[in-house]
Amino acid sequence: MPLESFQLLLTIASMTFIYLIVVTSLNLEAGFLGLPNFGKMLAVISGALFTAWFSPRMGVLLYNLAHPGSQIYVTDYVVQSNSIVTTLNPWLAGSPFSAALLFLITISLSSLVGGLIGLISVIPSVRLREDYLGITLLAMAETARVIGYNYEPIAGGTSGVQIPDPFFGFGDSRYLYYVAILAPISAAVFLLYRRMQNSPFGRALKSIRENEDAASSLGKDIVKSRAVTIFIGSATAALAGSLYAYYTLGVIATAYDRFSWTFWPWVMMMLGGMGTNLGPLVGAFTFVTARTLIYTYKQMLSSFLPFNVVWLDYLLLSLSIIFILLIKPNGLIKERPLIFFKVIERKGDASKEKA
Amino acid sequence: MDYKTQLVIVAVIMLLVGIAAGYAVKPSAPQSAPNTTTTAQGQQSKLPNVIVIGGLFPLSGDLQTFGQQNSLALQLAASDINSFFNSSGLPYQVKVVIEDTQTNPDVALQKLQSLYSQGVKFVAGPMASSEVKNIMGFANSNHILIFSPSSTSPALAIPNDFIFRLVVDDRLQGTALAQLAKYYGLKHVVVVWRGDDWGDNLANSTLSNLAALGIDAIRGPRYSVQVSDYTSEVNQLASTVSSLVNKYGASSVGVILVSFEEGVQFMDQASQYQTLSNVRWIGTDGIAKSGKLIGDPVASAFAVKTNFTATISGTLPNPKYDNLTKRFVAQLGTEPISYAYNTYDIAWLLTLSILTAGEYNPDKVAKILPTVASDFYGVTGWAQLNENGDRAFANYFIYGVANVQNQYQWTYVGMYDTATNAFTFK
Repeated sequence: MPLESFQLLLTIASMTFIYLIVVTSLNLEAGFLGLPNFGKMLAVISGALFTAWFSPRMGVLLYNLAHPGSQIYVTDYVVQSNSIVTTLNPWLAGSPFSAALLFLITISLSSLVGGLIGLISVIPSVRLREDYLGITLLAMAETARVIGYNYEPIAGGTSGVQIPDPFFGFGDSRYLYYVAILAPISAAVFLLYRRMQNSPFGRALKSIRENEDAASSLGKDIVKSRAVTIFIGSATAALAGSLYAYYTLGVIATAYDRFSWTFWPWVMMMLGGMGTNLGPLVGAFTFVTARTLIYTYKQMLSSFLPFNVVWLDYLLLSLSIIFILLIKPNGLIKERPLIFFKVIERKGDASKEKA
Repeated sequence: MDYKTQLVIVAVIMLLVGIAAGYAVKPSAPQSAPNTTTTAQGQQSKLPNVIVIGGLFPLSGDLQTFGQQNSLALQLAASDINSFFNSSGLPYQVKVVIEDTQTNPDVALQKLQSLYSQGVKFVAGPMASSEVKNIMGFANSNHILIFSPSSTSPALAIPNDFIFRLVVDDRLQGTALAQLAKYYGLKHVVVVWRGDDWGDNLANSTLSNLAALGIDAIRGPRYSVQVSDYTSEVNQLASTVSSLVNKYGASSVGVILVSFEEGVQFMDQASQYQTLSNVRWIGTDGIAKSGKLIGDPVASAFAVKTNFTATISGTLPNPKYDNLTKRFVAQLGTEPISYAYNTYDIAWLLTLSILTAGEYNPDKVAKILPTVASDFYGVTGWAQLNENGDRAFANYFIYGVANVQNQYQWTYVGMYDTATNAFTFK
């Protein structure tokens, strides 16, 4: 069967996995801690920009292309972006170990750098009230995009750059295998977050969200909790940014806008259910599936409509979301006070024992 | 919802997604046979009866007007091709599927994936270089042939890939602008440009071409595309030009303005500086033939005073072009931008190449497309492609602004032929 027959499934799977990572991190910040991170894009674009900057350099270092006698003599990573990639890709295809090393080190460092940038971005504002903090993060995210678009040495500025493809060896099946690699990464992130959110740390975040003063009186350090959460959330979202860069095989700052990487993740989180473990998965899967199906099958309605079906994209998507939120205003998965239920159960058990 | 139920839901969703990915990863079965056609000679053709060409255009967003014009161009081409098939007795039909990229690289990729999942392997568009950059990896990996009517970034000039462009890249206009400056006898030229992909590439190309011609190329201010007040940039430019004029005289100093229509506002503000009014100004295709410029009396007067001329790629008059223009005007009420004519030719080129290949197969078509293009003379003229799959040559028309009976209008000044590197002036 031709590959394009699977493209619908692949698109849904790949974008679900990438968005799951972003939404999971946003859910920790906004759903559990109550921190309105309107600058989620900051971490995503940081990861992508670092990948664009680091990946070709590491590839050149591994293949030893930075001397006059090499196959190409690399002196400018932006101007020579195309020739670097076309030289490195066949070599990576024949050197699986180097390809794996390049991929793993790049996504790991991108994640670390994203976490640090997230941390730095909240230093001036971490003591502010949530709404001010949210606006500050929004401004920080826009600043990162403007820098990425105008400062050429990072990611080619307005022209963007290509990045070496560690999966080039898979040939025509490249995207299939990439999705197969995305699956365990996003599953690992999801399960780690689930474990963290069910731990005392996760409960402490919820207590801060509900009442900062009460949490503080019980010894919870609000500023430290916010900083740690932002670091973890940003590192995770930067990982998604790096993975998306490897998905598209090129980075240009305009591909990372607040609509795609802040607004849509918020919609997914609210759709799935804020502050729940399962919400991000349900939200990301539902949203991406709905969007992909609408994009793909709206043409079938063309004969019934008096206007161009391309206008249906946002219309149907918005209606789908409004419909779901009308039926489930708290999202598809509702947050429940689990600890409170345990107390009730214990009382019930005690009364049974008395009886 | 208890813990076990949640776990079950997680497991089910991950299983569904995993099955989808796993099913996709398994080795592919042989491709099913397409609908075949028996030719007049009794041979079996592998070509399906319906040839689908996708269109990726910005029907909303910053380039909405251009997207709608290109969308119409693709539909007009499909209609003409189908008439040709009918009159020739060929059993084929061209069907176009158009998607809105919203001038957003991320959306462009999603829409390309959507087209691909519908079996579309030949796509006209996208328009912006940033969109082409974002979809390039996916298109090359999945062998989807992309043919852009308007992406001019030199960074996308790559040989042996699946990205073709029926437009010359910015380096040729940089050559034209530098040659024009030399023709006018300018020795010191300050380049001012808008800070985006197009502006950066064209400015860099112009600066390097000026330097190659022995002209003193000076980097002037690069302004942000998000502002509309250029006080600071105009002031900086005036300062630079003033020092050059004092040193070398006004006749050897010039300004090249790399702008879209915001250049009108820039010229408005520049008109307040006597120094800037005394030197020659040159513009690009972003402002050439702009109705906004001749509608602004201050900017127009400044343009006349500075002998402002602007270059724009175009087609030598031909009946095909005139006929298509009339149809555009009938439907849109206005003449479209030149890129819409490119889209019209792209549809013909793709169809002819697919017919020649005898298969709906991008691998085969990508190999023969340059040959088909080299023998193709469409509404935009000769479609010769270079080694990067981009249009090899273009004519740049030069227009100036004149005051005719108290009305400002664009007037044809001459032409620069990139194939022969020669000017023809009226």
